[in-house]
Parts: sequence; structure tokens; C-alpha cells
Amino acid sequence: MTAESIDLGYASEEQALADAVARLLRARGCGVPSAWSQELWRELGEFGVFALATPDMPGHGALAAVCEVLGNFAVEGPAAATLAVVPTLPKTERDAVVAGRALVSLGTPPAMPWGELADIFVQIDGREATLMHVRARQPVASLAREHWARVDWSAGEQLGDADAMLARYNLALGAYLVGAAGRLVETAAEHARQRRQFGRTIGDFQGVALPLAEIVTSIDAVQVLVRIAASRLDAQTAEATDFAAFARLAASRAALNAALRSHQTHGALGVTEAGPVFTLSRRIQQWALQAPSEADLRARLPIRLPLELGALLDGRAQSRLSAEARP
Amino acid sequence: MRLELSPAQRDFVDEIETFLDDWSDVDGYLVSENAPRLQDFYRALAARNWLALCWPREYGGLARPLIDEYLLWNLIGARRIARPPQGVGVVAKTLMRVGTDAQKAAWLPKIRLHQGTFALAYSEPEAGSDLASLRCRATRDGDHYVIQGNKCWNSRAHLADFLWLLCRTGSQEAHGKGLTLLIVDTRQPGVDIRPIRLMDGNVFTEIFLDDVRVPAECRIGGEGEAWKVMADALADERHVHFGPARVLADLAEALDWLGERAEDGRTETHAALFDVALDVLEAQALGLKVLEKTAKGEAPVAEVASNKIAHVKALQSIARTAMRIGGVDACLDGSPLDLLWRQTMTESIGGGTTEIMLGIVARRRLGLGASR
Repeated sequence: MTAESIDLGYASEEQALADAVARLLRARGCGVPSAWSQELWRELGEFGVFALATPDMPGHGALAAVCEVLGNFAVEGPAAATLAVVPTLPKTERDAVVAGRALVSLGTPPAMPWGELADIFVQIDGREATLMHVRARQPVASLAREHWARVDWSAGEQLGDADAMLARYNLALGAYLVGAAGRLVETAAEHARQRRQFGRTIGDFQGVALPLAEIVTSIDAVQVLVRIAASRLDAQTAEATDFAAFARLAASRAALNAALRSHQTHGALGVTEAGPVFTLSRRIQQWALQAPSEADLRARLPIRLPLELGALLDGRAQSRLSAEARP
Repeated sequence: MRLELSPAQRDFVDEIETFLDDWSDVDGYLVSENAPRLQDFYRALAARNWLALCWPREYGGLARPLIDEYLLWNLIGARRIARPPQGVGVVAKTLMRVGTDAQKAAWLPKIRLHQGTFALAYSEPEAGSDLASLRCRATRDGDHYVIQGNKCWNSRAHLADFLWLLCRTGSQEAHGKGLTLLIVDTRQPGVDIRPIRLMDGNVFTEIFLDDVRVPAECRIGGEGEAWKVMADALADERHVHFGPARVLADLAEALDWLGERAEDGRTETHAALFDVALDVLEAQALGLKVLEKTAKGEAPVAEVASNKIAHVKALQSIARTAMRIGGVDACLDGSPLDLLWRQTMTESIGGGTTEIMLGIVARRRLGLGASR
């Protein structure tokens, strides 16, 4: 038995790419609170971030590793939607999106995320994806502050392989949420290590420390799930797309819990508009609800677990999990 | 990302599964009384030297890597056959580490062959999680120690041949530094062990030690050195407890049962089970992190704490959600959910409470919670 046969990290080249993106974002002063920057978006395009989803992409592992970094730096923009849609677009549109010159809106009309600024609109409805021709748009406020708009539109061509698109979306979003959750809990922990009350740091109190410990335990788990999802998509296993959906749902649950706990830990600072938490919590909350929504996934995923996760460990218990529950 | 067993490991898993096929009637994991068949199982493991799978060869072991122990006990847990006996981990490995040659010769063969069983005697009525403040006293008297005090919440001591006793030889103010380990024969005069039946059918005990005379050569390590010895020993068996396969076994049982008795309103049922599924996935993922560290030969301290937190959360989620969905039928006629509901409460207490595990994670992962 070699130690190397169990390694839950990204491959070295995937991690190197993620580290390079992190250096770029650090140099640009990215973090919390964050703000939309067209300039940064183009720079990410030129760096090759959106090319990770092109047909000759290095693999889902690289995509997930980079998205974790984007989440950790709270980068604003339709990253998951972009990476989901890129391989399905006609070449001209694809080149512009990959370069960061064109913005993608992915959702279920009439209200579309990034609709106020987007150049390319894609409707996703269940398991079908269609290009949209937008005639008019009316900006609408959203919790997530993501420049939504209500659009007047007509259907265009169908985009191929919506299942693969959805799987990429779930993977990219799940990875982003892992990074974001990590940022939220680390910010909260740092605050708890510094803030003093009653003669000691607030992190000394179990009422502060233990809930954060519970959150970080969950984040560590969902990070593994997202990485395994990427690995399964690369291996094209039978349940890979379902597993990516489960990973996203688990990551979303962990990220929302991290956000709510981070709000609480920061006290009054945690509820300010410009503070370190709201910039992420509002997006985490809204993403759970917008198409392709968690409710959509939960409605069509079986309770049967994608047991390949623990194929090493399940033994013959795997064969006992035969019951399914569908609504 | 690499997640695969070597061919040799796959062969070992097959070997374990085939071996376990002959013991599928043993149901000693959730409720482990002294059933003869359970003892036969341990003896069968001993006959293969699997109780000493990772022991050094100089002590009669097979010198296999720790991951083999992980695989073995995880698969045994999947079938709910048995938990690791208390002697083969902490006791045996501590003896190997700090025991005298005479102590190793006296007890290691007994443990390896399942001819002498141990119970850990740590907790006291006033010292549970805070073991360093325990009061049971051992006073040196010539070639013996005389022990006075009582222990509580000790698992299955009434069935054990020996106690692995943590007692105070130093001052109370010395706290952890005043503690010493002794091996006590449970048949010694003055040892009175009384069972406490738990809500899940298992038995804890209360142990009364009244002027119990123990030869000084039964002291393990030096006087006042027990706390450090125990800290070192904590890493000895973390990897064999709280394996993810048991979680899947619980989920399988609950889903099998609910398949027959699901309530109306399946959308709500589906939503409730979905969150259970996510809890189970998280428990499996953290089991993999323990496996990763163990496979590398590293001590999985924070990982084991996280794993136990998630393991317990998933078990309780399964049992409590299934019971809620199952309605009153889940409480009747010896329903399996009845036992799971009762048993999973114990899981968050024994082997380190969830609060203690969270404290470990808080300190090691976040640098928080320095004061208690």
C-alpha cells in the first residue's frame, strides 16, 4: 500500500494554476468586501480562467481548483454560468466570453441574473438550455446585487448537452461556494482571535468557538465532495452528473451556514452593508434559489446516494442501499 | 485526486469480507453484551492474528500498515458485528511504548490472543471530560499501591479481566501531572463493579475500589507520567473508530424500513431525507480524510475529531429523521429505528463528547477556544 493512493488534494498542475489565479487576485486587492469590476473580469479572461471550460480544457479538476480561489477572493461576476455555458456557444460568442469581453446571463426568464450588463443570454429550464434573443431589458434590484434585469425575449437555438452544462455549473458553483465558505469562516475566526471583550478574546468563549468549529468541519467535508465530483466528471462515471449536483447542494448548505455564523460572530460589524460578510452572504443565499435552483435539483435527484464516493469503504453495505424515494 | 486501493489492499478487503460472511449472525456493534458468539468472533480474529494486525513483529504482530486496521474495523462496523476490544489499541500500544519487558511478556500475548480483556477505567462521577481533575488515589505502601476511590461510566468493566486504571499518586493541585496508570485485576479483593444500564441496552459500570492492593510492577510508566502517556496513546486507535461504513449501514436500515412505512406527503419526506443524504456524504468525506492521513502514516488528530463530529451528526440525523417520518410505528414492535434512536444518543457522548471534539477542531483548525 502506498500513501499516494489516497490523496484528496488537487493534482500539482491544477493547484499551480489555482495558486497563479490567487496571486493575480491578491495583486489586484480582491477580497471582502468585493465589487463588480469589468476590468478584473477581462483580466481573468485574458489569464485563461474562462478557457478552462473550452473543449480542450485541462480537466474538471483545474476548473474546480480555480473556482475555489474565485470564491475565496469573493470575485463578483457570473463565473459558474460562464464556465457552464462556454463549450456550448457558437464560436464567435464563445471567443468573446472566454476573453472576458462578453458577459453571460444564465437563468429562467423573465428575470435574469446580470441581465442589465449581459451580452449573451441562456435560458435553462429543467434539462434544456436555449440561447435567448433579448429585445429589451429593465433593471431590477436583487438581494445579490448582481445587476439583474427583466427581459423581453424570444427563443433562439437550442444549446447542446444541457446535462453537461448543468454538471459544470454545479461543479463550478460548488467549488466557488467552498472557497467562499472558507473565506467566511476564516474571517470570522480572525475576528474572534482579535476582538477582546470581558478581558479576553471572544474566540476564547465556547459559545463563539464551537459553532465555528462545527462550520469548518462541514467545509472540510464538502471540499472533499467537490474535488471528488471533479474527479468523477473527468472519469465520466455513470453517476458523475448526479454527484456534482450533490456536491453543489452540500457546498451551498455549508456556505450558507458559514455565512450566517460569520454574521453572528462579527456582531454589529457583521451586519454592515460594507462589512466582510454581506458581500458574500447575499449571493450565497440568492444562488440557492435562482435557476438552476436547489429546489429543481432536489426535486429530480434520487435519495439513492452516489456511493462511489465511499467505494473503498462501503463494503457490502453498498448493496443494501436499494431504496429510493422520489416525490 | 487519487482514491484507490492497491491490489494487495483490495485482496485484503475481499479476504475480510469472506471472513465476515461466517459471522453475519453476530450483532455486537450497537449493543455489545457478553454473548458467547461475540467472544468467539474476537477469538477468531485472534486466531488470524488480526487483533495484532499492526503490532510490531517483536510483539507477535503482523506489522501491517495502519490503513489495514482501518479497513478491517470499518468493514466489521459496516456489518455491525463488533467494535474493537479495548485492550488491543490503547492498552497494548502503551505497553509496547513504555512497559517493562516483564509487563509486555505478561499482558501482550493475552491481549493478542484474546485471553485477557481490559476495560478503561478513567472517568469518575466528578471527572468525565475533565479527567485531569480525577480523585481516585493510589498510595505507595512498600511493594504495592493501595487504591481508594471510585470510577463511573466505564464501558463493560463488569466483563473485563483487568482494569486500565487512571489514578492519582500526586497532589490534586498537580492536576494531570499527578496521574499514574495501573493495571488492576478485577478479581482483586476490594474491587466492586456494578452495572449501569444505558438507554440503548449497553452497560456502563460504576467501580468501587476499597483498599485494593496492586503490586507496584503493575504500574505502567513512571509515577505522574500517565497524562503524557495517554496523550501519546490517543493516536493509537483513533483510526479504527467511527468508520463511515457503519453510517451507510444505518442509512440502509432506515431506508429499508421507511420503504414500507413512508407517511403520506412524500415531498416533505423527500426533502427531509435529502438533508440526511447530505449529512451522510459529509461523514463519508471526513472518513476519507482520516484514511488519507492514516495511509500517509501521520496522526490524524484534527481529522479524527472532525470525523467523529460528522459521523455522530449523520447517525443522529438518520435515526431522528427516520423516526419523525415513520411516526408512532417507528416506536413500536421493536422497530430498528427504536434502537437507532436510543443508540445514537450514546455516540455523541462516548469516546469524547461532541463538545470536546468541537473544542479540538476549534483549537487546531482555527486557533480558538484556548480557555475552557
